[in-house]
Amino acid sequence: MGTYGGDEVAALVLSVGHTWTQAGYAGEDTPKSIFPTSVGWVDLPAEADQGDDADNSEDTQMQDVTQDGASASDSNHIGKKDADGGDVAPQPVGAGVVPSKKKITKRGKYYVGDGGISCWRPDMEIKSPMKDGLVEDWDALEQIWDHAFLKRLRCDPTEHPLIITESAWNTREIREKLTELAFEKYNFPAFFVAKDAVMTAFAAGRPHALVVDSGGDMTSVVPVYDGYVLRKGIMRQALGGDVLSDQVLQQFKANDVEVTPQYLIAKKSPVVVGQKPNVVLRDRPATPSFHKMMQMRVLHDFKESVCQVAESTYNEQNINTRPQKPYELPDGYNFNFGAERFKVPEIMFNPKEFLKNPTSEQENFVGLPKLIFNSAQSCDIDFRPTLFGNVVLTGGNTLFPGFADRLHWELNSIPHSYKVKLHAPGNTVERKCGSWLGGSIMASLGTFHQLWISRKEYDETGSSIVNKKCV
Amino acid sequence: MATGNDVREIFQLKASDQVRRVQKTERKPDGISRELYGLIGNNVSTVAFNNPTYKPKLNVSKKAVNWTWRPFVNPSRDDDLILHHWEKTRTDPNEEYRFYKFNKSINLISFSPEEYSSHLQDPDWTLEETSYLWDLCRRFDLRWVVIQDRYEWPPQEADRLALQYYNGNNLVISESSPNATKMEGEDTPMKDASVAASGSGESSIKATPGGDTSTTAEVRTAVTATASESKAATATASTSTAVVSITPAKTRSMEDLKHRYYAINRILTKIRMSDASQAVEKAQLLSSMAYDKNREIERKKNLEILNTRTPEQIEEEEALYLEARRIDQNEKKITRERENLLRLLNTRDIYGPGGPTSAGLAGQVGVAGGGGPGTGIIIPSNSITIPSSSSPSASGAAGGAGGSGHSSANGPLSPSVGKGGAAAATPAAAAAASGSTPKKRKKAPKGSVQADDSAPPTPTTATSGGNAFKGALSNNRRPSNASDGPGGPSSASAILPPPAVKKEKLTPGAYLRSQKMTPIVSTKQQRVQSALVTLGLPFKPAMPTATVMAKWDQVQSNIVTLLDIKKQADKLESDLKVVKMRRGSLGGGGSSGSSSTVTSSAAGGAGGATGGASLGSNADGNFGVKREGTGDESGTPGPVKKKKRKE
Repeated sequence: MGTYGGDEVAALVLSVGHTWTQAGYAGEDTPKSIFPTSVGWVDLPAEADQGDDADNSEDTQMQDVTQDGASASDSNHIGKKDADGGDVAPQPVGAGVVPSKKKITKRGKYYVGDGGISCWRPDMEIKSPMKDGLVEDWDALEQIWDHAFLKRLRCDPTEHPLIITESAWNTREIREKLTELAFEKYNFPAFFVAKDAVMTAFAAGRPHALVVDSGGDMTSVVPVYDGYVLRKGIMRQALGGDVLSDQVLQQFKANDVEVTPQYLIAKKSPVVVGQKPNVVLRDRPATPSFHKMMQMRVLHDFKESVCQVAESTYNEQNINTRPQKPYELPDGYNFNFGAERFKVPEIMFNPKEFLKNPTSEQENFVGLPKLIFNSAQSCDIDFRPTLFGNVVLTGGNTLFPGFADRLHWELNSIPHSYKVKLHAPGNTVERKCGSWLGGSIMASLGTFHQLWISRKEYDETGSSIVNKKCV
Repeated sequence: MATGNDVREIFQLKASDQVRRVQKTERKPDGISRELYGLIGNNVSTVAFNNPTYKPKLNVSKKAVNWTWRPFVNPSRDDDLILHHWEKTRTDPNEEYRFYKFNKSINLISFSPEEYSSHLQDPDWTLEETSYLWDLCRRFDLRWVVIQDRYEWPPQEADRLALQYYNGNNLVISESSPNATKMEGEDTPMKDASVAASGSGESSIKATPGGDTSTTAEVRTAVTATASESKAATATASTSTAVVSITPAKTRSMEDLKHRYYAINRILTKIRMSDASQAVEKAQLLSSMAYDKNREIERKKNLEILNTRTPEQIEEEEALYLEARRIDQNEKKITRERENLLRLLNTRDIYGPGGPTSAGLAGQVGVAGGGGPGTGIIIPSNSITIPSSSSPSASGAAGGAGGSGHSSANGPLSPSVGKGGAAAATPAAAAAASGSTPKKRKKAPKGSVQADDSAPPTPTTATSGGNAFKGALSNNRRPSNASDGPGGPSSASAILPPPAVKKEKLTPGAYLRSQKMTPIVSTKQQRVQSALVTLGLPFKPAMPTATVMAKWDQVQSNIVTLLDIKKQADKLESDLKVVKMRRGSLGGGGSSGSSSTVTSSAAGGAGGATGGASLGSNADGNFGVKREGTGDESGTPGPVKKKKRKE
């Protein structure tokens, strides 16, 4: 025990990313629960509340949703919550105050979790509380916390310390608000906020690292020195998996192919390669955000099963000699993809050339190698060799086959005299949950327990203590 | 190892239990490695036999250890946060927390405001800022990279990073200068100007309790300015690029910070460790706190340059390096050849000391010396074995001047003198030559002494110097005069090695007298014999008396030397021919660098040779001249004739 220095205090680890939320216990190697960060929201007219509620629970037949509806419904839900949620967790006194205020302005119902949001509902809007790595929608975030701690982990928050991860460029206000949330609403005995880049470096076993995180909505490069983020070296751009999916969608559209998500399809029959699909659609009017999310899921699957990164600089001739891969959309349309499947991830490396119809912001994107190089360049010169020797790759968008090899190749072809060493865990879970894993390791270390922000400290100093203790 | 037992087993015989018993009883004693025991022991088995390791089985018989979920307090914390963990029940619940001992912090020398005002003032720093630096140092345990990253004075509470982001991705995309500091006040976008202003307001509050009024005033004015500015900006609702200048944040480089930190530490150490008994410790401390800011900056700049080389530059550098190495090796090769040549000349000298011939040798040395610096290739100035640029020619010229007295005062100054080395030698030589006053004459030896000092004192150097000197002196025909003649002082500088007389080998035991003959290398035997034939001598002397044999031996070795010299001369000739041809092909128009060096080398050689010859002013003058002028086997006839004469 002494050798690894672990001392587990049953801490909870929560990592809310743009696309996925991971929650679990410290000391474990995978999160107990992974669910989409996006939440569904249905506006409810006050009088139609009860009926709609009943409708939905019938419709989905998922425990998640019914519970969710119960806990998140409006004014007259309080009595109901006592009945339903009493066994789930003791709700702190302050908890009731905060949401009820909000419910006055916003009447509606949240749906959280895979089961909640994947289900078709006519008026359900899908939104993500996170934007650019920062919390934007606090109500939605609360729903996510609720879902994670009460529905998934089903634990008593007052018994467990909590560690959460945040983006390296998180603002003071947001951290303070998070601290407030943890202590006021959930009554955690202790709390800590860690930078996700540091945690990723931790999971990779490196005190110094250049953490390259390519997620759903953005790609960031963060230098980490001995467990501290170097703020001046943070480089990021809103070029992530979603942009790639969008590009695929555009391409399909250009080829006059409609991407029809699963929820719209009633019946389909096989067609010849490249032919129009033979499909019977359901009449399911949905909000554009829901439709978009479902489309994105299809495209996500497309990327996962077809796309690949060229090993060296993109060369159309070489690529054309590669075998094609067939893919069938949910509506039965199928096609063999050749060069297209290489062009998609190529955007990450050469956005100028491969990004079609860029917006004004997207026009300024630079390739990932350049981003990494710029980040390292903005650090002290004595530290640069260390950074180049410890490039850690994380994020779901880096899981394209050949991504790591290509990045290594690109980094070596930029003129510099450093030795580049790329750390890219082969395990997909490790790559997707890098920051959670680091938090899990750190919160189970004996030497870490002196760093927690305790209830007492919070009471004495207020929420600003988080900026003092979590640097 | 197959034992008798195995054999028995194969043949299905009963195993002899005697052997088995032996195996059982023999156990490897502790503290001796298996391999060693296999050698010295009863030779049980030389094959390593590893028992297969299985997963340890669950030990049911042993009682399970009890664990308890137990609260604990971490003494590293100020508050008494109670966390729970699993502990073995039998451990003491009141035991100090196991990880408490890892809670270490660094020792930072702190200072009081009084100390600051009396000793630590710096026009560029205020007390507040220094305290802020100290705070950061303590907080980040002197991780300078982090300190520099977080350093922001006056502290801006507004989180700029977030603000920057909302302004779009300008920062990320800016390809221009990745090294530019991105936390400049000017970068802050105006969109959140109000936040920024409030942030700087906070900073002003922070700054007020400090002592220095001027800075706080500055901060305040700046804040008001920004506040008004931001108001104006929001009023006009201009969106895009209006820039709000918050209190101009000082940008301090890591060198600035380190410089300040170490400077203060040094001062404090000096003040506090005034006790004499701590002198050693103090000096150690001080030396450990040494920090040269400019050097660091220079170092980083150079590193930067080194790291921003383009592949072409790197390639070029590598090519240059290879070229340099090639040249170096060539140089070494040529040097070696020269060395051989000189050695030959020396051996020749041993056989025929004094005499007019050595003047020619001196001339040749002059060639070497004079030609060397002119080209920089034939004889490198830094070569070890060959006298460096000035030494041979200097001593030679000086000696020559001394030897020839007033007659050839112009000699060294004449234009034919080798460019580099001879030119260097001229002052000394001229001084020596024209010097009738003792003062001036003293200079000459000085010069040559220096020259000798500069050249490594290898025997070759000395002998070659001595040679030249001797050759010049031969004009006087009184070598014994060396020490008291006009060239005396310089002769003192060129210390002559004890004349190398060929020692007779004393072979123990009985031996044939024929063994006393110097053996000739078999490859040269043929040519030596043919030379003997041309001289009209038999292969073996008819009357091998001791004297005859001694003479005979000498003749033979002379012939060998002669052949070697001839070979060298031929080589030089061909070299010269090649050079001349190249010069011819380059023509009159193109006077490129290489051709010019070639000509200068030739001129240098000529100068040296003629210098030597004129100094020699004897029958052997033609040696150098001919070599230079005609360019065919001119080197050989002279010596051959000489030898014949000697014979």
